[in-house]
Amino acid sequence: MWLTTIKQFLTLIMKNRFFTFVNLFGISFTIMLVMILQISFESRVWPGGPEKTVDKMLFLNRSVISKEKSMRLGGISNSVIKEYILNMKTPQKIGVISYSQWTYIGNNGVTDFVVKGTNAEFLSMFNYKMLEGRMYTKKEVSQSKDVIVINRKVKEQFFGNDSAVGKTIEVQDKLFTVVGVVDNVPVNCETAYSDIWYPYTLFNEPLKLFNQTGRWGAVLLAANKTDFANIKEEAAMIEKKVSTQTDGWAFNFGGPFDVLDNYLIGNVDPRMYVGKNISLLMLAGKMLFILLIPALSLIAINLTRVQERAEEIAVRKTFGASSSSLIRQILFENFMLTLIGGLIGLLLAWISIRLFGDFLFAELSSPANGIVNVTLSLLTFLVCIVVSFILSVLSGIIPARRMAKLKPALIMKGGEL
Amino acid sequence: MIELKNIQKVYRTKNIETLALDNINLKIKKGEFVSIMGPSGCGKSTLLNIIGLIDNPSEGDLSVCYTHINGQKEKQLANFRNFNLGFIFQRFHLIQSLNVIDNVELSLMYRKMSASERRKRAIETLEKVGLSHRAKHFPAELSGGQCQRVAIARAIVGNPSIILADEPTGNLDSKMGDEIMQILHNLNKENNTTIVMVTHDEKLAKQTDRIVRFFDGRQVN
Repeated sequence: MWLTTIKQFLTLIMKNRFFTFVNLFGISFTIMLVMILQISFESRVWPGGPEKTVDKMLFLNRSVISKEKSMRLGGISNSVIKEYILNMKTPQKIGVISYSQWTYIGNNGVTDFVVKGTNAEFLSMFNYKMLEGRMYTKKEVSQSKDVIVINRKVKEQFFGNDSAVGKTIEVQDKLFTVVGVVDNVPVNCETAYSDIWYPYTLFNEPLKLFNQTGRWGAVLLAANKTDFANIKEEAAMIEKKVSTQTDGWAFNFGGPFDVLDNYLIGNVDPRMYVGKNISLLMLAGKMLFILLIPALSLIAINLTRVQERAEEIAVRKTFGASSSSLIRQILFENFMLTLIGGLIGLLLAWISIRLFGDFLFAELSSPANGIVNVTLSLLTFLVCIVVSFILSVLSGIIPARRMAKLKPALIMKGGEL
Repeated sequence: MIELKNIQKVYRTKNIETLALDNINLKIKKGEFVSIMGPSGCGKSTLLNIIGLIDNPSEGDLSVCYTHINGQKEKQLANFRNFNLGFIFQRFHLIQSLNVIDNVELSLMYRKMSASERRKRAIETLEKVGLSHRAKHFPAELSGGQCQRVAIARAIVGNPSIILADEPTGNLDSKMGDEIMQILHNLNKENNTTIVMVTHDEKLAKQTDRIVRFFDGRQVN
């Protein structure tokens, strides 16, 4: 039966080309917008590239220090990192990062570079593509050696096509020896991204008080996801311990969070985070709202076809089709059309992201305009199909019910419908 | 086979009430070929719609295939039509977007039947009406007589015990009309199919077992 339905659907869309074009245009444009949001969401949460293993990581990027009506929200202080985070027992690896920026004024004007102070474990957690040399070692970090790893962009700017390993470069008034060059990291790999990496021990900034925030973060790698609970428990213990050293201030990470939570929280107080399920539900609600407006237009278009197909529907009913089977058939046809529109929309979204990716990911790429790693995953296709299905039901159910209610007796009266 | 007791059909709008059928009592036996005649607007088609279960009587009792119909639900009626009734219309009402074989298969689509079995039965039925060579053509590519033969094939493919034909030759020339009548007579004789045919043509009506005449919604003989 479905094969015949598909055959008839193809005949129908070929016979009504204008209707097909108008319908497909509306569907594909709508789904393009939704898919752009989906692809950009997915590319930020699971960007691939060096961050292939983010699903096994927990992130500690925030600290909230509060006392009565006062609250400090920011990164983690160096004292918490050094005294507690680096001594955690439950993670398989602990990577620490201090965030900073280096403005270089050269012959070609001003260039801003992202600079990250890290430990050696941090570099080993991500799949950086090594072009030359090596990463700095644990020993070099513990000995505060003046070594750095740079990306291809920095290497090309300062050393051209020559090898950079062994050469020196002055960053933030300090002279470093380049030990390795890695390929440029996509800007949407926010944690792994940097232009320059150096041992975090190099800049001996004074330790902050425990009731102060800082500009540090940590990545905790678990052997597998089942260890997340233990890591979170240990982090909760740290919160309690730190709180005893803060002169009455309550210390909270609000985490650690997995990669999805880490994205969904955004920049709000992590203690206010409502959780994955509600956040995703809210995103789905926004998507549904986006779909509702074009769905109304598609309902109007589909209703004009009720009259056109009335004879066929009445004949089907006469020969034994029930209203429910007709509704199924019409919804199936609508879904097929929406799915075609959905796949066109997905293609358009892909092209748009390729063409306008810089604009879409603009806030990520500061200060450096870099590449964005966008991939079409199975999840993207699944979302495309689900969105197509929702749009087809939203736009098809009213016309389908209207068609199924037609009285076949009108045909027997002479076909005046 | 078909029994109508005190059937009444009233069409109501806001201001007007029209009595389409008034106190109809009619029995049609199994294997009978009955013509229904009368002037336009006398209620012939309304009667056929009620027997065909695509319209409800306002009052009265209806039995079709020895089954009491009153009070059955929409889905049950659809299923009943599918297995027991075949319809032939004056204007054929073939689905233009389906080819001949898919049109013939239509009623079988709503039965639990494999695609191959459906196809086999549709081809056999098309052979009976002499149109198997047109199986892949679309209705727009056929003559009126051929369209009506496809419509007959569609009506009989499910082996219904009753065929309801609403002026089946009304849109055809006399030669084609005779051919269609011959097919209906053969069905009636060979398969013992009960046929109820609405017609304006006295000559065709006389070929049937019985003529039931209507005037102003009432049975007049």
